[in-house]
Amino acid sequence: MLFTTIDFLIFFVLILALVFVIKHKKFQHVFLLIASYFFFYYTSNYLVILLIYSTLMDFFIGKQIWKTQKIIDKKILLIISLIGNLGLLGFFKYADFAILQFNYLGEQFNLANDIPFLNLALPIGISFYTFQTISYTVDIYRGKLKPSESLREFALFVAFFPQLVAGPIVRASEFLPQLREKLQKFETNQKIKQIIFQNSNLKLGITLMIIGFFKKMFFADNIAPIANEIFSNPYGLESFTIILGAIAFGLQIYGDFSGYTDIAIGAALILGFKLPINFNKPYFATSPSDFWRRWHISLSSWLRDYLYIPLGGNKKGAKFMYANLMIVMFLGGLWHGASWNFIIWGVLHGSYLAVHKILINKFPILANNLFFNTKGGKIISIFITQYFVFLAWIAFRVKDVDAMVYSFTKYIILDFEIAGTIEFILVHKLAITIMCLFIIFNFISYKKNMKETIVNLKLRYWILVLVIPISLILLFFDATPNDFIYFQF
Amino acid sequence: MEKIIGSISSSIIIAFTIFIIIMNIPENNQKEIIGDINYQEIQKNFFLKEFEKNEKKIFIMGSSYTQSLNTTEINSKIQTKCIECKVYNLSIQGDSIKKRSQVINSIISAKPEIIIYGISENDFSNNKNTKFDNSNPIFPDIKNVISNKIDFTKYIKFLNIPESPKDKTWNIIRQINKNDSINQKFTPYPNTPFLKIVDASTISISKMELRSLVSNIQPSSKINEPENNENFQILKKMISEIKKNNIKIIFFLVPIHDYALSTQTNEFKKSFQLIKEELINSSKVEVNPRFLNYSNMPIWHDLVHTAVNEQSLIFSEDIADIILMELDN
Repeated sequence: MLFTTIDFLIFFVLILALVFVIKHKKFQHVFLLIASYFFFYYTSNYLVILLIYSTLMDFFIGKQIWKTQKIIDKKILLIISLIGNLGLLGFFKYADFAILQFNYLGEQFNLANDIPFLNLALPIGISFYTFQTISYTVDIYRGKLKPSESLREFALFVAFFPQLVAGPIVRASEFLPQLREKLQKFETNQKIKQIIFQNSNLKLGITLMIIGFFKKMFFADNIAPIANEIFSNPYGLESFTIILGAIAFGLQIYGDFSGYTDIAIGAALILGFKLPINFNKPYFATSPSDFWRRWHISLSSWLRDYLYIPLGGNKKGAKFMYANLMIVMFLGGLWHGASWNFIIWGVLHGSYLAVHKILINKFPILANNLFFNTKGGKIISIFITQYFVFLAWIAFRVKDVDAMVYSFTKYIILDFEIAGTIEFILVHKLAITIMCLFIIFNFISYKKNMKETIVNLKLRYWILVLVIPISLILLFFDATPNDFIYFQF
Repeated sequence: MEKIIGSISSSIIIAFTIFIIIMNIPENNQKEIIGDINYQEIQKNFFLKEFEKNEKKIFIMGSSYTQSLNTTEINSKIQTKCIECKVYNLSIQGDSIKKRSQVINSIISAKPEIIIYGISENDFSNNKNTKFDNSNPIFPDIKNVISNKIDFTKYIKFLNIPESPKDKTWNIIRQINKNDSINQKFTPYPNTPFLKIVDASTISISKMELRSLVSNIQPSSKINEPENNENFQILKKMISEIKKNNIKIIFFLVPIHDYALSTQTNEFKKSFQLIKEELINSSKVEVNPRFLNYSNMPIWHDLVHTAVNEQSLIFSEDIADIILMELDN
């Protein structure tokens, strides 16, 4: 179910009404669980079985890991869980990609018969919920988390509908206590509802949802045609047009994904749950590592905790650290999709992180230079970092390798021709205007916490401020809304 | 809490009022450009008009795939054999069999001699993104059940909201900005009453550019077997209505570049073949095969559209030949 469809709005309003009406507190979680499964079933039909499979497997394996005393048994159980989760992910997401590579290799060795493709439907959100369940069993294995006593609670943690299909990737240690906390209050006979609509949550949640819809439906969807037009056929375009396309796509994917996250966090907040933030002004990052502390935070922290650190992180010397960074970002790229362009994107970011670490290690003067703490120094750092971030977005957007190489060449080696770019801007001036508005919107957000400012407004001003994004969302509503880019991952 | 709910409701009501007002602003040329709202009205008005007496009308029907058919060229070729014949290209961008069936009676009322209909795989496919949608749901498909029960389009029509408010908003902004010549539409050829194209459609692109477009092609959707294919069934009824009125109808497969055809799965190709065979057998109509020699010619605007220019005249000439053969018969 797409957040930007009328189906979701009706679904969400019904859920809120029913949660409000259900007086028996115990049933609220069950109801939310059923609603979450319905949300998934609505578009994914039988693939809901995979979600249930993943939930049941990790619930019981998690319990067994906790109970078992022997380290070797714990390890075996963890490996079973990893094989179960990653096997599922690998089969549904990467099987055809692997077959394609095998067939290509076979062609090189003149093998006549191609392996037929499986043409499997990609289960929505599989990359997100498998990562959540993996983190659950790994945390239990590490002794950091006590397994959930209740299957209902655990199932709700895996399937909670606002974040089910595109994150944020929530940790059990963040989510389960929110359910338990309320249960404990209930057990002490405090007359408190498990899910209560609080004024502050409601106002912030609604504001976040509207900002999310606004980012996605007004900004991202109207900037998308610029990136599509440039990168569907980049050959012959000037350097500045390619740069414009890279900026457009960078803004589009940010509006799209952070918009989705805002809607998810807002919807959860209205229901009384706090989800972690996923973005923190990523285009104001001053270094590649700073960028990954601000972009898709729940994924980057997951990769750090469950991949980079187990690989040895930076504890085994500089060379291992660079190799680990490359491996993590390679797999991070592959996580996004079964396609070479995502792998190239990941490897590019891995090399940025490694080169940045090398520079800092070899030239400590760079890290300690006071200039980079000044306003001018920060601006220069931001520009340099974003130059490379937007270069990598080309790899993310352009699947055709020849077109990608052409775009990279034009992005890096400027041709200083502007006639075609000016013509492109004149033809697309309305979309370019929206792009500029989004840049201003982000700049204001950087200077001031816009969400907080809006939430703190008096109700009569709050009404008027929200009229603007709601009107623009309605006016720019598309009959065939674009999928959220991250739905495909 | 009541205050917050009241406030957000007020915001939505105010925004919705602004939205309805803007959606009802009349657009320049709105009446000329055929859309979902005026689809039937514009066509009915056209077919009701008085055509020249003794004129033998030949209607070409199809979507944007047939927009490049040059009526001047086709007429000049067929009038060597049939002086009173006149070809009308009734292509409509974004057209579908289902939509065309709504105006079939108006088309018949104009009494054409021949209807020549350009079809493609798209006309019979589910048109869904199968990457995420499960084409063979095992459990009941609630989404379809609900969307069949609740038809939001009737409320949208009641409030006079276009199906895509975004397009309307863009048009109004362009209208305000009168110097903006982007996407100014024009009629490409005479007797193409429902076609308005933009300048960009007249450009042929290079082979390399065509190749780069392959990566944008969506994965093949599914074509249901003829008995469960809604569009096929509608088309069958249309053919029967047309034939009942002694109007000849022939089909041709619209040109699609080899690059695009190569992305179709075998299953998809087989399903379409089944549709074609069933169309020929059950409705006793002729389906002219696809012109496969086009792929190497510099006539393409993209992988599925030939450009509206002089270079693509071969398409018009081939269609004229089909008509001539039909006239000979």
